[in-house]
Amino acid sequence: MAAPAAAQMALSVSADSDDRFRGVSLSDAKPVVSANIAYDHDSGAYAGASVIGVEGPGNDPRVLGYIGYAGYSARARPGLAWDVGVTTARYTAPTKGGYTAEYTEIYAGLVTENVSARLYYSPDYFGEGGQTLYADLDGAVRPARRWRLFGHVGALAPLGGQAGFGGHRAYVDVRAGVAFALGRCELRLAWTAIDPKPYYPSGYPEARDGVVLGASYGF
Amino acid sequence: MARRLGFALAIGLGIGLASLGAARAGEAAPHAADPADPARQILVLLRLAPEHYRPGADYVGSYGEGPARGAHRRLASQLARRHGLTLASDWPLPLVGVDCFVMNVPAGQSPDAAAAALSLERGVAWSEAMNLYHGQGAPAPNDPLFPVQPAAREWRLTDLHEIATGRAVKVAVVDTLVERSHPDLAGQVEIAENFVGDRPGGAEAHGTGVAGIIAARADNGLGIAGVAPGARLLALRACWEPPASQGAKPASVCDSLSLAKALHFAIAHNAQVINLSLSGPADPLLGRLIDVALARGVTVVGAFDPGLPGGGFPASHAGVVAVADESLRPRPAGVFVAPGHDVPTTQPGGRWFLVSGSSYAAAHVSGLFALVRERTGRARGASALATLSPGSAIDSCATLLRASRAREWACARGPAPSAIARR
Repeated sequence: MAAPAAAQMALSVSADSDDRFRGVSLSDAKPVVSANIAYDHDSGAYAGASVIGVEGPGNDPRVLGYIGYAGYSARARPGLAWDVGVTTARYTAPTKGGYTAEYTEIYAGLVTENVSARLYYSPDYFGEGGQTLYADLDGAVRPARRWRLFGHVGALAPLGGQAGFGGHRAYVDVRAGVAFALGRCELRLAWTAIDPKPYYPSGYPEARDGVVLGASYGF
Repeated sequence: MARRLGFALAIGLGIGLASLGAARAGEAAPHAADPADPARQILVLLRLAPEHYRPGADYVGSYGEGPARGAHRRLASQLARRHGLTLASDWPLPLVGVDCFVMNVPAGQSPDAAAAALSLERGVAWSEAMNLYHGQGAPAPNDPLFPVQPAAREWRLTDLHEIATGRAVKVAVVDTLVERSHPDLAGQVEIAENFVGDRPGGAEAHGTGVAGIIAARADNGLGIAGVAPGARLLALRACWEPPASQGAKPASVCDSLSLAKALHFAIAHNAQVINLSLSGPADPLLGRLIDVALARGVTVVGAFDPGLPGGGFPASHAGVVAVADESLRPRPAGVFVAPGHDVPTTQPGGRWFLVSGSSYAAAHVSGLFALVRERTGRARGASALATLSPGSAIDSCATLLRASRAREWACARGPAPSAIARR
């Protein structure tokens, strides 16, 4: 049938030494494995979901969280695309403590061959009851055929000031790394940091600067 | 912490090794050379989704890598199977928003029909047949003076040599002494005879120059390329350079007897082309010898001398191909025009110099006849020559194409300069 063939469905699995989200570890610095599905429709609409697994207490694997997203993208002209969408994430605490990290954001962005810029708004970031704006800039260059150098800088600004964010105006996170592609697999090494270090009460995910190693395989 | 890093490393290594194994199992690399016949290939352009937000993915500008690539490959495989084609290779082209897949069309199916059918499939932006494009002009020989040879441009020498080089055709050069040892003539002279034995024996300019134009070695990194570098020269010295004491001297002098000896020798030794870059009064003995040669199917080429009635002898002799250089005005009917102005050619002493004159134009035509006679024994005289219109300048490509079997010759594709003019 033509319909399933034309639905450009992409499946992949990935593993990372830490699930870092905007400089913050959501897996309490434990390695995670995730299965991802992504769907691109001819019209420009797209959607995707991931399920993330982590090593639980007693070394059993357990589900850490889910991510879902949907949006629409189009090319303004060759080499320049824009997209809008919504993304949501639901995480449980990596260690038993009852805390859930969850957020929903709407976003809009521009993408060129090497650079993308995006703005996100969340009405209730991480369940704190506070609205946030996050802006980020990503770039990548290809010095050689299988190699990619990438960089990311982002800033999170609580709107209206919330105590849970330690009273800071903005948090800036950076990530820079290198990726190597081999067939259907990609290996990544990145350094990530956030400043200032957000204060979280005990039981919340810790923020730590560090190196993240990752690999992914596309089916 | 170390255990966690170890866990991550193990996962990473496992995925890496699995992928290596998959890669070695024969996945087509995007840029692998395709051994299949391009005439039986089509391009299938799959729509490449514009780059957009992907959580967890810290890259932009995927160039078709990443998860979408797997989806494209699967779609392309399905399409290939459904249409009876085989997938060859792929290459993403993000600037036109497509991922390009090459598919082989089996015998019995038309590539155009396959492309049309695939263009209708969902997910396919369009499909087209693989096209071939030709560069203009064959690579020129490496002779350093080749670019300034008039024959290179006016006679499209490179294109002529694609068809013939005059291989094994015997050309008799009846002239002054040829320098056999000249590096650009080494091995080109099969037989050398001296029919003016009582004259000084050093190599002489006129004969050496004529021989070079006809058969100088091509692609030897030296000097020029002859019109017929495959020809076998019979260097028959029937002429001599007059001594320096005579003022305003001609380049060569020959007499009836020396010429008769040389002509006789040439005919007896089965020369197929005889070059007579000389002119003088009509001579009954020489006329009879030329008639014998013509009767045996030998091509006799003579230099036209505007200063003599009828162009001089042997040019005016019936059956002889009369040749003049481009400066001849007006052009009498029956006289052919060939390059003869500022022609680089071989000179005694292992050197090269520029020459002008109908002697050297005639040499060009002798070389051309050697090319023609490599392809066919039937074209003998002036009727074999094709000319550009108007005027009587020789169309060397047309001349040689007439004598050759039809094929994809560069000569047949038309000269590059007029292609530019048509635009």
